Amino acid sequence: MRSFYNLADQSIEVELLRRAASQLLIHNGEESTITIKALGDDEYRVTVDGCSASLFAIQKGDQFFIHLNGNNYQIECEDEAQSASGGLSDADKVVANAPMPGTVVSVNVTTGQTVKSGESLIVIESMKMETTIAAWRDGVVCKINFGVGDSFDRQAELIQLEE
Amino acid sequence: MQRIISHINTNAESFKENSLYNLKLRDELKEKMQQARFDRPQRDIDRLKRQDKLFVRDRIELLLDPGTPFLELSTLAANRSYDGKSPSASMITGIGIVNGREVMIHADDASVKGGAWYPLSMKKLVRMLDIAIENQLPVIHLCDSAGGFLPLQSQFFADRYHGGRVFRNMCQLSKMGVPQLSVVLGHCTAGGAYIPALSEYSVIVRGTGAVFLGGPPLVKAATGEIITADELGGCDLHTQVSGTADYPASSEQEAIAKAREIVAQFSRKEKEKIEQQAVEAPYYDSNELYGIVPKDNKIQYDVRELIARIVDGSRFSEYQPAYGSTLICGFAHIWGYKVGILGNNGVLFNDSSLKGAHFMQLCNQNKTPLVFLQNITGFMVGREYEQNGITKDGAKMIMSQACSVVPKFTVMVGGSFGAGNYGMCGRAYDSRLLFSWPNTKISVMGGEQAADVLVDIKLSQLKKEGITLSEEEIAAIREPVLAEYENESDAYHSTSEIWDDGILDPVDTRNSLAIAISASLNKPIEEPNFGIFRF
Repeated sequence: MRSFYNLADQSIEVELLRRAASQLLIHNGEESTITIKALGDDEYRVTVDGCSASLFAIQKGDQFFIHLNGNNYQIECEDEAQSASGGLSDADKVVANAPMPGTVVSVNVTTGQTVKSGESLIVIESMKMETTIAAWRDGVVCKINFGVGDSFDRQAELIQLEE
Repeated sequence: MQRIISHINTNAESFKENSLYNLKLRDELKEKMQQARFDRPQRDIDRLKRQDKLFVRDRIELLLDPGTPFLELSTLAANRSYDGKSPSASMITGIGIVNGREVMIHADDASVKGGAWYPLSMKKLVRMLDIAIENQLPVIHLCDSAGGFLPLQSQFFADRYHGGRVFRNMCQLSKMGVPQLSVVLGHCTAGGAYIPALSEYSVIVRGTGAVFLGGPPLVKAATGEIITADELGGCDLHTQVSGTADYPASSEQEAIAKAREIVAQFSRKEKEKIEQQAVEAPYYDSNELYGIVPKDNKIQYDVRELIARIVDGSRFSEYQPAYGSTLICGFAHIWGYKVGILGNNGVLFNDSSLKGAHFMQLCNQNKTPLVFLQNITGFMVGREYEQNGITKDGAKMIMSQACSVVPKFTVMVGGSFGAGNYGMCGRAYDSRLLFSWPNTKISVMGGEQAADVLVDIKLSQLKKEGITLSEEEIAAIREPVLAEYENESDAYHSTSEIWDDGILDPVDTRNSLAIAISASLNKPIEEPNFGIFRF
């Protein structure tokens, strides 16, 4: 099983293979033999290539909190697809397109205004439902194409946001 | 599987307002449930004591395995009918665990008019048996009913889904090899007498239990014979002479203990195997649902925020994330069970309809139960969309949904209007169970739109006669229509009419769905088979 972890902002890729009484960990092409024994109360005895230490570990969702030799470590398990994604995200988008045809109910910003991600920009109405177009990232409103009461088609460019 | 990233700001003003509003709705719901379950006139409670009978809730408590969940259905059935005189339609139904077996339970409530069945009681009883058939669940009947409420007989006797259907359904269950057990704790008169008679097993309490086609008053009127209920159809007559009942019991406690022993003899069938994995609690707090659902149901919200608070680990493998974005489809797990979820993020377009149709076919192919989170104003209208075939694409979605062989579950989480109700598995489409949230509205179109249409028709009629109306006169037409729509489209009307299987506190959705999915797997999933899709 290949897994991705994040430790101190560094992404770590490891492969874990099951062996008879232990597990084989492959990291950067190097192999280590590991055994883990639960001692109860979140304490574990971990042996790596014959070297043994006991540590405390707690899992909360994707986060692991580990206490070892007086130090605390926080490790996050990363989703495989997420780790491999090319960083294609909403942050690069400049224009908000209308998800459906409709009319503008309210415009809550002005051109040149600085907005924070999640802030409401425009509210539109279509088929009896009101939809809020919210800022998809922090930025500056550079163009608003419609005013209150204007109607528009699906995919129309409603508003532009730049860094 | 990737975790949904929530964009909800729990400190926002709107979040706090929504929370206040939805918590008020929840409190109202809890209060109404409490009343339907426990509010009875003292004289009725006293009468039960005099008769040496337990209150129906205590009977169920004795029957169920301690500490196991009981998914009660249609608690607020009939809350808007019969002047509120038939709480829960005078009976309790639900899915529970008895000696480790998932069973369907029906228990008459004799604290209300002697447990007489109103038209909606009959509907609830038929629905309960339909659920048992669809999920192949054994049924336990706790019988204590005076029979049909005679003044309303024309509303529950002769039609296809009226009284006769109860016994027809019982026969079908038996034919499928799904056992039923009746515990006779009071009178089973006329039609009601067939419930123990058609059950595989029956227990009857000496002194209070009786089974007969015609009770003592009817016998006296018909033949002049004067006889007590016990002599006519009591415990000893039926367990020693007629053989209509199987096990005698000297008290309700003994009868229910005997019932538990009988259920322990039911052989447990192997359940359908679907994908399952270790259970993980949702990452996001389900209490945040109250702040997410807008207090004005005209405001669209992201259904992924709901999914994130219902599914295991808030993980969701979204299908076609960039296509048909007004319908969100994807795979997730609920209490470990793999499900395919469809939720609305706006009106259905051609692309969203096609996406839904395709996704449901995928779920049928890999035996994945479907969960519909319904918040839909309908399919898109207008010339451009008709040209693009919105009607035939909607038809594909309905075909795919209606022909699905995997278990389907529907939760009404907002509006449910027009054909959107159909595409998203409304009541007519055989969801194994269908729940509503307290905020939901259901109608063929929105109240305001209906009022406007009716006003327009009236105005054009009058215009032909040369009459024009003042603002006040228009309002006089509009307001009553709006008020009626408002009243008849809310969740309490729906649940009163048994258009759903009950109203849920939103935070109970995850657990209720899990019980429903677990119960559904008692029935094997067939091979997929669809009708003709119009291309």
